[in-house]
Amino acid sequence: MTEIETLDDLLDTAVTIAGADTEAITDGRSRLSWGEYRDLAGRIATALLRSGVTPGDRVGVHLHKSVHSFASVHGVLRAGAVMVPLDALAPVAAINAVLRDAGASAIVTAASGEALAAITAGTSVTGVVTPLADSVAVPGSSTIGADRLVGLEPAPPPVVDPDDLAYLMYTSGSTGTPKGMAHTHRSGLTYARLAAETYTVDSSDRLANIAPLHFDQSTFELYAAPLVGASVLVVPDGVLRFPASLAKLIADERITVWYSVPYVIDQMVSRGAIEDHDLGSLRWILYGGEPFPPTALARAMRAIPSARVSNIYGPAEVNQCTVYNLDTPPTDDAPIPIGRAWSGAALRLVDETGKPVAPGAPGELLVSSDTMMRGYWNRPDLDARAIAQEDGRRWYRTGDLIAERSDGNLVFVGRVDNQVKVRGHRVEVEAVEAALLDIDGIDAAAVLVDRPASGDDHLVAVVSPEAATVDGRDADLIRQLAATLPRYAVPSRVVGLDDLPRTGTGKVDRRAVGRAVGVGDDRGDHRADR
Amino acid sequence: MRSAWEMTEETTGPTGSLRPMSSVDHRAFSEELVAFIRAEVAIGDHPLEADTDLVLTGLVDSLGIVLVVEWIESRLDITIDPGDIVIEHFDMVASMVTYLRGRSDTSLD
Repeated sequence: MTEIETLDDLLDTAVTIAGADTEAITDGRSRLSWGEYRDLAGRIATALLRSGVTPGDRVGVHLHKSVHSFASVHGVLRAGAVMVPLDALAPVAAINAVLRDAGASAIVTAASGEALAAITAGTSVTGVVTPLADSVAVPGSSTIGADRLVGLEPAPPPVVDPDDLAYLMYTSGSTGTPKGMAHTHRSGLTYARLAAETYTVDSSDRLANIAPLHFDQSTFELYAAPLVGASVLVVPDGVLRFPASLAKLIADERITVWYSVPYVIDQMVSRGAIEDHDLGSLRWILYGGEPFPPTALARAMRAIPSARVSNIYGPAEVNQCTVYNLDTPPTDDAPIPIGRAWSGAALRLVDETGKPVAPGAPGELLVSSDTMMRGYWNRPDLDARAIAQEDGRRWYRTGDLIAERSDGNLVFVGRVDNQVKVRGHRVEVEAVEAALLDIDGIDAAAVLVDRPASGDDHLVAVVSPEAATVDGRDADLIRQLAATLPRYAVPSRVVGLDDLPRTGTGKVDRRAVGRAVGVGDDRGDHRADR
Repeated sequence: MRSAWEMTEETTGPTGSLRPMSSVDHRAFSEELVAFIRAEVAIGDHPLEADTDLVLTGLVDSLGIVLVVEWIESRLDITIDPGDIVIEHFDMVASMVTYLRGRSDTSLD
């Protein structure tokens, strides 16, 4: 394997391994060879440099999933800048908050006019590159669009160090302020190298990119694929909502390796009419982000017998830290383990005082690995809580309660805080509750995760007084929340109660609220709100 | 506002021969479907018309598509095969109407 040291060299590596004319990437509509992919990224880099971007600047990538979104990521890296992936489906306020926090100086986007002005209002963004639209001159600045990109020379490699920052991966914080995980070229490339080795990815593979750019699973297809010259299918946002369209695309493109949250796999298997499609090219299905209900996992493995399956665990702060392989479908309802330490990851299970727990007892998982982030962007307060220095190593406190089974495999038990996962996305329930309390007429709120047996996990908001809601799915309240929260953090239902159950200290008792409204965990995977 | 079903009764032929119970003006159906999505499914405040892309605007997620399909099945008394629930048929209300008008078991006119 080629020993490059920084992520901006990846597309050159792929051209060397796979050949400039070999297909590199498609989104089902556009197809680029490795040479074209590298050149498009290089021209985007040149456009950014001409827009005033300098090495180390933060640059937002705000595009729906496509070959252009992938090329833009590599363009930002080629410019020596720090890539900040943005959720193209997020409300303007959420995107704006990330750009502000990152101090971004430029953005690669499809937005224009008023939409662009709203996204960048109050930020330090001055450079705008629009690879899918023509250039536009606006007072005070100008965009570089597809018409000008065509004539640009690809940028040469930047001068960057492996320990320089490469990308910021944002997640919602408990106060509603987004927090950015700052990854270096070294942490990203180490992950890419280990992932390619672990899942034996080579230039004959075709990887399906399911996750959006702002979700850490996408680092697999963004970085591990070019490292070994494997081609990528970027599944468009629209197709992902239609399991039958997804199944057809996976079959038509002869995908060999898949990585997603369990929900997407389950939806394709149960609602994707997969009997109409040959999915036999799939050799490895990786899932992570949240537990796979064992019955649903067994159904998926029986439906796609060609694929072995791995349960991947790892907060985005450390990329990946454990893996559990399944070669046969689970035969009972026991939760699937998260497995054992991944290559190069050191793990510890500790109690509240930092001491190792007794064998078999749950403890907070601490991870130390070269795939770990440098820290949170401009948040030394968060670093102080989340990162410990011991034994000459940096340890990330995951906040996950994990127990070791007698066979050495680790199992997920719960959280030490109120963070929950909805289809793999982290949600701090306090942030959603704070947004509800900002709405006139709501005096108290509790946010719960409903985990029905069907696998359609969603958030449920319970508010008081009851008069604050209209019916079981209060569209107005949901709309107001959707204006500020990322869509995965927007509850699907709102239930009104005149009084919310409280604990002895006067806090809203989420567990009791859940019992009162019949919302909880029907799957027994211990991931319900606590 | 009258529903498309009430309108159907008024559009029975002049000879008195009854048209199929499911016969419904496709424009009225389209408006009713847009109104349903706007009231019960849509997330966010993006304007919604029959030719609005429901997914890329963020208006409808996976659960929302399930709600839309259930509403259509109930309204037209049909079953939609999972293999037909594809992006070409359901990316916008106009696509849904085109798909439904092309089915032999519905009477959208």
